[in-house]
Amino acid sequence: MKKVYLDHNATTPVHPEVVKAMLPYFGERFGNPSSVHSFGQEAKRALDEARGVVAAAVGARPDEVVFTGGGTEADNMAVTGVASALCNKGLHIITSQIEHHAVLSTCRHLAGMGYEVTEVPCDANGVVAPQAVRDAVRKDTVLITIMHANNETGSIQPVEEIGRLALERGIVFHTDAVQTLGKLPLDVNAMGVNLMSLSSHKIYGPKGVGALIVRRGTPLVPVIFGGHHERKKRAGTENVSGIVGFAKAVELATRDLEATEAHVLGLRRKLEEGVLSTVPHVRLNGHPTKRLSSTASICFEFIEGESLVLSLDMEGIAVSSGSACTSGSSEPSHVLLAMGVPPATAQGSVRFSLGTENTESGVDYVLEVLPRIVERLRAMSPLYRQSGTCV
Amino acid sequence: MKRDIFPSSATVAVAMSGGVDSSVAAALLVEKGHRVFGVTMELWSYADAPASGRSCCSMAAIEDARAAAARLGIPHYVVELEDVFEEGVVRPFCLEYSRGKTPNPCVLCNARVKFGVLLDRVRSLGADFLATGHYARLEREADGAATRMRRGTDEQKDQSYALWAVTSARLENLCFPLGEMRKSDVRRLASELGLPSAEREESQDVCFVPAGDCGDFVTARLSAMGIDVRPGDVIDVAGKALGSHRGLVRYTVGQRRGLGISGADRQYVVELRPDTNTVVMGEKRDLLSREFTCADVNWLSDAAERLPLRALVQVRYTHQAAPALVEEAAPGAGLGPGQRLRVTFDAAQSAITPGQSAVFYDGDTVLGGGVIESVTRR
Repeated sequence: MKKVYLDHNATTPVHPEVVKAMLPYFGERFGNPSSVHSFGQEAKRALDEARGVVAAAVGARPDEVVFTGGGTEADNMAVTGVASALCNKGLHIITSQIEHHAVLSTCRHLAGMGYEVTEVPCDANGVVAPQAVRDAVRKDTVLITIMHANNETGSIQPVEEIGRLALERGIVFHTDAVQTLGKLPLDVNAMGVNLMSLSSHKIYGPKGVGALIVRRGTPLVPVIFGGHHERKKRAGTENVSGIVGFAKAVELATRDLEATEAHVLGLRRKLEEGVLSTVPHVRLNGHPTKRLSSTASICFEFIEGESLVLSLDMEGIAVSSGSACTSGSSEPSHVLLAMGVPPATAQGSVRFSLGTENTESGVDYVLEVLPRIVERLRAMSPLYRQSGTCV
Repeated sequence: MKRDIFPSSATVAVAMSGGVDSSVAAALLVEKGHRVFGVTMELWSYADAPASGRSCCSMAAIEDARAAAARLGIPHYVVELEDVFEEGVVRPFCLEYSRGKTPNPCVLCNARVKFGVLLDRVRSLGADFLATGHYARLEREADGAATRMRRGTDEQKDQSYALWAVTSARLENLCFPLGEMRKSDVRRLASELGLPSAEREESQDVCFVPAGDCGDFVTARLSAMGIDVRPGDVIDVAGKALGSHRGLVRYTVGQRRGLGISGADRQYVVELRPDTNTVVMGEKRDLLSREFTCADVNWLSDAAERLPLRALVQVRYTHQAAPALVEEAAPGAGLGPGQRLRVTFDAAQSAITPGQSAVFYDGDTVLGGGVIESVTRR
């Protein structure tokens, strides 16, 4: 069976060059970077090099890169770390309704412990208005955390503006850039962020590794204790092979950024136009232009996204309903609901996220299979029959 | 006799629990050349799932089912049906207990969840049939329609008793590949095929109740619904007070152990009276009765048109079906959801229990069934 993978916002295949870069660190270069001997020094050098590559890719200094066990850990560290460090200054945190659960759940956990959290809304395109953030600021606000681009819709958030207002008001600003690394140029200075979360496996690197960029002077209490690793910000022996792979992935993604963008944007347009012209009653989610080139979130009215995902899987096509982390749940996406999509329509959402290895013929295959499946699912849908739209 | 056959071009979804039966059912369908995929229902938020790890839908079951599907090379999907299960099975189960009944949750689950919502779901995914590892047989006409359900060939394992409430319109989309097999053959096949579940123990408990804690579970759930389970009196058949009980939900007709009544060695629970919150005790012979009424009737045959009729009636999963007369309790009321039936056994049967299913058979063909409502005592 033909296989077409269109779930790159969930994860990506590891690039062969990344695998090649990592392999020595499972074998002869197995040392612990904290060891003083030659084995340790070799590992430490690899770590230093990787730190330099990641820092350079986002305009940060090497000592501002804290390697973590992935994007979720970076988000947890940023939110909890800043809130803990500034608990004597204030207990108010601003986030948005469309954040990844790595941020939202952490904020809600803190809310249960006495912090106050404001979740600002977004507009119908899934974009948070800087003015809404400004209006939410209070004297005791200690942290603003707004993602760079949404994982479900791909809508790009106005982080530069939010960064400026955070700076004006002297509030720490964190952004989750897990979905934008390798897809949009990142510059912590231009974006005005104090903290930025990054992940490796969304950019053809290995899973279980990421980084939190912590600008110098940012107040942060660790969430993992037990050693002096990562400048005492994140204890635990570093995942050296993973970090080396991550750095290689960053290097490749940054180098090929423009070509990749052009490639996936072309395919996405073909996909969107194809779907819109062959399938009635669909709704394209997210901002029409300010959106990640890789991402197309589409609601198919009258059917459940989950059924469509499973049916497509049986034809070898991999997509997801909502984000991978909430897939399998029958709850409609919190992001689409925040955008004002009616719950019944939101149930029918499917996310197509493209990547470098996708091809025109893959998209052709999807366009051949998808309309047939949607038609079949609708034929069985009581909602469709009741709507009177079927003929 | 028409066998359960359908074209090998059909796509079949198999409800997989990771156990030996459903795994072998899937294997047989793969062998026949069907396009097969596995589904497992997720019925609980596993953070607060019952501790018993052996039930058909536990987290371990999902993992085992996934492993079995991988072994067979078929796709496997988890279908989340928590809300449906809660509303359609768990809640009614608890409410029935509060009314002094002893429900059959598997009957409800089969009718409402497995062969209700799950069947709809797999049909929408392109399956022509939903197969399970039940020991029961279906007979299909050449055009696939008008199916009869019969007991499984292995009478020790027959599960038709738990399937009577499936609506007849659903039968044509069901498939029971193990219906003509013996359990020992199924086990042998599983181990030949190297299916991971070949040695797994079978579960006997209610899948959502932590082992041995049914009374506690039901009491807690009812309390959350605002229904208090109160202690009450225990009396004998003559009305003499014997002591007190901890709540009707902890008792069932025929129960002997755990009564907390001294000198009750030869005493059985013979009746639960919800209106007075009373448990009635008696001797073994007090459990005997010939007649009961049932409601929530479902027919899997045209037998309803032939009332009153003679049938073999089974009143418990482990009961040996016995000859009886089945007739309308209120003649002329007709078919439909309000239909109530009176069943009169030729010979008295022991421990006929309100809430349990009464299933009517003609030989080994399931005619229909109902839920036992009230039992006429001698």
